[in-house]
Amino acid sequence: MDRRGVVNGNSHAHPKRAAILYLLTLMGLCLVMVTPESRAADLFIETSRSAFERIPVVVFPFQTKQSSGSLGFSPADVLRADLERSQLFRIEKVNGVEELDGASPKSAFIQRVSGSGVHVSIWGVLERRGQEFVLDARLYEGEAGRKVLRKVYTGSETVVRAMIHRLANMIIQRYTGQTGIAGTQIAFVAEDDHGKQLYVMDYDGYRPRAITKSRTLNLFPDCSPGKKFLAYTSYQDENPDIYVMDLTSGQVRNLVAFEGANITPDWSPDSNTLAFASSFDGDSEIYTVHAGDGTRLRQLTFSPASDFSPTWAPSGAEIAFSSDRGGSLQIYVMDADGSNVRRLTFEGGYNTAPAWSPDGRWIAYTCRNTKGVLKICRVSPDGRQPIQVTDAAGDHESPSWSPDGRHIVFSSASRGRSDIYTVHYDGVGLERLTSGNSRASSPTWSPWN
Amino acid sequence: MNTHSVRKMVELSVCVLVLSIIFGVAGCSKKPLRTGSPDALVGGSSTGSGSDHMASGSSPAQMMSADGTRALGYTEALGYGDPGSGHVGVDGQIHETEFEIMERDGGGATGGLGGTSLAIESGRLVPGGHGAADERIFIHSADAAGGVQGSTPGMISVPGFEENGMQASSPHGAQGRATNFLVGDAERGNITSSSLGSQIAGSGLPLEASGLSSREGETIVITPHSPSTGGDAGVGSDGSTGLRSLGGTRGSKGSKSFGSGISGSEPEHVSESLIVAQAQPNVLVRMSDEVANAEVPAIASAATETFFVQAPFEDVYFDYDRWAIPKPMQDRLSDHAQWLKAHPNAEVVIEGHCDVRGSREYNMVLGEKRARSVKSFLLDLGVTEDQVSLISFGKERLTCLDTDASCHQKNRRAHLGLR
Repeated sequence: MDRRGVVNGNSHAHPKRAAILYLLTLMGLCLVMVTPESRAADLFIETSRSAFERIPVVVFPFQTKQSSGSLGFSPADVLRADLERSQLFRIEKVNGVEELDGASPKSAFIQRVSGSGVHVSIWGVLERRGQEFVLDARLYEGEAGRKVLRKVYTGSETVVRAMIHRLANMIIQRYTGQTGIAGTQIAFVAEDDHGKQLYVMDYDGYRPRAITKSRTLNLFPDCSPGKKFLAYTSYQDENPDIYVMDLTSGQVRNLVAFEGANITPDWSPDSNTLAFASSFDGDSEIYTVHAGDGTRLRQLTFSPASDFSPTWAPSGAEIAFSSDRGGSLQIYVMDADGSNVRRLTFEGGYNTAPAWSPDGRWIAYTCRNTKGVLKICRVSPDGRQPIQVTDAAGDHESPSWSPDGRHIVFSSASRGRSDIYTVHYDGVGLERLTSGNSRASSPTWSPWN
Repeated sequence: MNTHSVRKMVELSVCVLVLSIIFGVAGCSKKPLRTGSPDALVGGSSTGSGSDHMASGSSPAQMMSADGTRALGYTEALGYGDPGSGHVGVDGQIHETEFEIMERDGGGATGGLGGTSLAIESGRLVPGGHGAADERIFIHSADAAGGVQGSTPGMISVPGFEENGMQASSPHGAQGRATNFLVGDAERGNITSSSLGSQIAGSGLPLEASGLSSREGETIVITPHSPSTGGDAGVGSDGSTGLRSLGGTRGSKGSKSFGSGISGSEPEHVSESLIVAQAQPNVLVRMSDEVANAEVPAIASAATETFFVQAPFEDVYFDYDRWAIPKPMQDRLSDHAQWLKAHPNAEVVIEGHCDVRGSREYNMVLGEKRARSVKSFLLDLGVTEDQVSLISFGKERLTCLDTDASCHQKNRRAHLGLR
């Protein structure tokens, strides 16, 4: 949803909201200019952009009934993390809130909380009823703390977190007009005793589950825009070839199997075409094939250097890629038919693995800083405003955008470890999603649907 | 069916036929038939998440059986899909019901930031600024006394109102306050007011039918994931995948033999060992250096007829971010070329590897360049092209995980392995 539209559409009817939205719009503009800062942290820590006034929120502890507490997480904490992670809300800590311990907050208390400058407060009940879980959530807003909304979500135990994510998205939508990313997934590569497998986890790092089990390497996953397929490189036939997994049925089909390295698949925005790099001709070039059957092979680059890591613009009209044709590894952009190639990055001697944001505004990529360490950078598709996004320790690589274009997932490696992290695109809110010895890498963020 | 598959059918057993159907349809069959896995037994790293592994067998046949294609049959943990995406592969359903707290026009309806944006005018719904445009909204005027009670089996759950917020926000006071039921179905999109009415009526609530109005629905349905769907058909049993990966083709190649026995090079430089045990026909065990040295005697003695071929291959090391063969490595590679020329039936796979620095994608390309550079060096010295194939592992199979210079050097290598 276009934020400007929201402002125009409501400014007369709701002066207060209009003021806030105006603020949000202003702050959105500021985002572009804010110098990125990041906090090296293993855990999610509260960070805020200096220019961004978040919406203050109180989340009362949820009441949990009838062994719903055995889920192993606090629903209020999941909701708080979702709202905090959006970088749009600020979780307020108010005396007496935690002491409620799930009890229904009294009207007077809500009013007191609301009177202290909190715009929204949320309370809910999570209850188990047989095989089903019922999440009953209420929103209170305004200085009087009026109850304005009540939503009930019902589902099985496996979707309780998803229910809370839905609640978070509803709140984000309601107060900002934006579509929340809570409830999206991230696919990635992790090692097990047998090889490297593809995994999928929730966007907050919970519920990782393997989707391949093989004694080989599976690499470079990319999710189709319709979220129906996952393209990836696998060595299952003793060569790095490109496969497509139907996420509905689990069926896998081989799409590209040229001799040589067939790597870095990337779906076109209409899901019809897959761009990839192959070295079957002697050096790595960018090709496209029809994503349905692997036919209609088309070569897009013809450089004697190495061209790889294609990424489609959301318009489908252009493709950015990585090439060392200029003597150093840089990002280039070409039209989708391979014409009109121009160099995008000029700063630094090592820029690779571009990822075009779904809103088209940025291209994130792996850059190398002056100390020879890999970080995540981003640049406008016109080549302006190249900027380093991440600054924490370790080698950061393989950036991928959240569907709202406001968050980046990447891998960070140091001393034999590798984990998946997310960060807001202006560098705040660094969060580690994986842990353990599985050396997680190559994340790709799922689209909304 | 292409020639690729036909060859497999001739060489392998029926189970392989199943696989070649799967792989053969790919249509990109310009590559040579690739069989055998250099590291099938001990490949990959030893670290792991420890989750969801297939059980590892103890015999070679069982261990092989889990190779590669097993992924085809695996859907159990598929959980990919957003709640509401409608795909199989998600976990379950969420039903979502919204109760909008009503406020009359002009009755303090601003409600603060993002306040309720619905109001009733002459019994019609005025949609406000939030929520999807395609929501179906049912408005229902119910008596305030009991609120809405009970739940509706299989559709919506409507717990009772019990606390203060409702009362406080209702401009109607205790008399006939209005309650919104925002119910619908994003997938089916066709819940009618009457069906809702009957459901509510079924729960014993008073219903004022004339007050119903609607937009598109909002209950979110998540299609449940069926853990057993797909996959297994056509993949074959564990045994068959095992035969596929190292059976027939490998066995016949093994029985051809390279014939020269142990080459006599220094033990620590033995790079690859092949063991064919007649006691287990069609099973060729390929082992890495460490395992080979430890396990060879036991396996060899267990077999009635055993032959044992070693190739004197040593890894070729490269300079940082380079793929040209360094001078000191050229002599080593020349020796390997002589050996390959002396054993024209031997086939070698050149693996290109990189150190951990640099991006994953770039290192795949760099590893490929290194392997190509070794291949062309060997071909220049008279090795036939049929004997040599190559594969890049980028930085995906590090031999050393430290970050010091010597570790980097160990990883920047081309590894030659017999096929």
